[in-house]
Amino acid sequence: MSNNVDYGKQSFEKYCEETFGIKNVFEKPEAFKGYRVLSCTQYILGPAAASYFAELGAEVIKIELPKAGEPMRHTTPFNEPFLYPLSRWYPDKGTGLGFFGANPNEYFVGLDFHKEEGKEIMRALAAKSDLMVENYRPGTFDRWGIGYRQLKEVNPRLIYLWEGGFGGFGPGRSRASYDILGQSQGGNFSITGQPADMHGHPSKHTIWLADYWGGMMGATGALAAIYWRNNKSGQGQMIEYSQVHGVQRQLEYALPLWGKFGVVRQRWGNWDTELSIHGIVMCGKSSYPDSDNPQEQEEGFILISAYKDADFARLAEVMNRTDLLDNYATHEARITPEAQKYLYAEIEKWTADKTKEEVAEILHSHGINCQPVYNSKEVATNPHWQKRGAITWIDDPSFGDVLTQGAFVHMSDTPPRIKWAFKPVGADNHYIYQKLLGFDDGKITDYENRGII
Amino acid sequence: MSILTCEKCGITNYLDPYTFWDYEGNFKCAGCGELYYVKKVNGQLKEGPSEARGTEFRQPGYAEKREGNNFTPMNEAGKVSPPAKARADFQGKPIDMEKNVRGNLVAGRPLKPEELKGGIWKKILE
Repeated sequence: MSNNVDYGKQSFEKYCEETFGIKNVFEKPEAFKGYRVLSCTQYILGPAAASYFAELGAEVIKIELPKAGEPMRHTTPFNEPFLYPLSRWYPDKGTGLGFFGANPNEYFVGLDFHKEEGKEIMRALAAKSDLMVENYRPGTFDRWGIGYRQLKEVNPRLIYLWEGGFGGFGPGRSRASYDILGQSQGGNFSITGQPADMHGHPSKHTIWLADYWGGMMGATGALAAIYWRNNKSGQGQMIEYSQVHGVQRQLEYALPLWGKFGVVRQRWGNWDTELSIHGIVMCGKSSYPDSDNPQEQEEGFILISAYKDADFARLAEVMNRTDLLDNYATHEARITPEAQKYLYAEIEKWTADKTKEEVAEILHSHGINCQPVYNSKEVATNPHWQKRGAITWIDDPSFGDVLTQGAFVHMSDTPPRIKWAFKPVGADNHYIYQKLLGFDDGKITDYENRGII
Repeated sequence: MSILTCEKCGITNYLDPYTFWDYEGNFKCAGCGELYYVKKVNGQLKEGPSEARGTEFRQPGYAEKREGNNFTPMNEAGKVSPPAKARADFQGKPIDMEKNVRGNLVAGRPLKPEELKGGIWKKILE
């Protein structure tokens, strides 16, 4: 095969822009068009798993408690921002912004699993679906008669993804889990934050990392199950994902380190245990000294990555500190804890009279990799990410002009896309129940009045 | 956290862990205003409370008065450090709005049943 294929005069940048640009996304087919997913989920872990299929074109039906919806709708930053209405039964209540990001493109119906008629509806929906996702406590749906063992009787091709906390068996299985609990038991928090001898303590992640990561891990398992069903077995299967198990996959070398040496991995804050210099440095000047946000008023921060010997030598030169090369010219010399404590302090002396932007300009001009630590406003208004569609304003048909994350990946032929952010609870009762189960308006109204849907 | 009882007024002052995690200086009793010197390192009380050094001080995060088995909070403004705020104009309750940050229509306030068409605010549909 020749390496000299003539692609004309089109640059790789132009190729990517024309292939992945957001302008043409809606003209292309969707990978999972024709697939149906039931999302009996709450908070983020389960919803995230189902939402990736919605972005890829599947008809994802989000099933919630009638009229009031799932708990995540009722969480929002400091109880301030909401989008209205929560549902047509509660126009004066809203959905909190915590609901963003894990439920786009879905159809929203109400269904009360506790009632026998609700269970019958659930079984009827499962009979016409490819994938079901739920994230209740272990065995809850099984106990209600709508778990995998019961649903596979009505639909042997159904793939059932249960996203639980600790798994379905084992002595620690039966508690409820949340992202923060999963990360704590999984070992993530113990290695996050400043080290103890630098007056630090374990720190939680601001974002619900275990939930979004777990959603993607579960979706990956579901993709494998779909492939197996479609190409090998013709049968569905059950997938059991444990949130804590997933967190343990993030621990990198912590487990083999203990297994081999009996060493308990420690926190190392904003620096890196394997690369030096490769960490976050405080700059002495604020980029927004007049902001009314204390976090913006504070000094800026910048990530500097100069762990290769040549890069570090350039950094020392830029800082006018070539004396640092006397003892720290090699990575072997720079990686020790003592060296890092010394070197980062010396770098911060150099950044003490600069903003993060000023530091970035100097380092970039010398070919040193760095990145100012952006706040959410800087992320939201970044032209690079807006052009790529990673951050996007959408004219949402239910809530108006909202800013949201774009689709999770670019694909040349079957790109995922964001059609709407979410909808009010039960917004699609008529559409879904008429289309799939043949309910007429009278039956839907009756079920709504009785709180079944 | 350190729990320090004022020798003069008997008020219990709670030095919250974050403000006093690494702190060397005075704190001001929420009851009588007396200054005490403390030194805390890594969240641990290393020195004090003892006679104040200088006039600068921090306030405890929480304080209470004990009478037998009854505990009365002493948290009036100015006596203890104010709680952290999300923003200068933080409200802590739903904020109503119809225009977003770029001035476009967004369904950001409670609605009345007559403002809906189906389950959507009529203005969005217009």
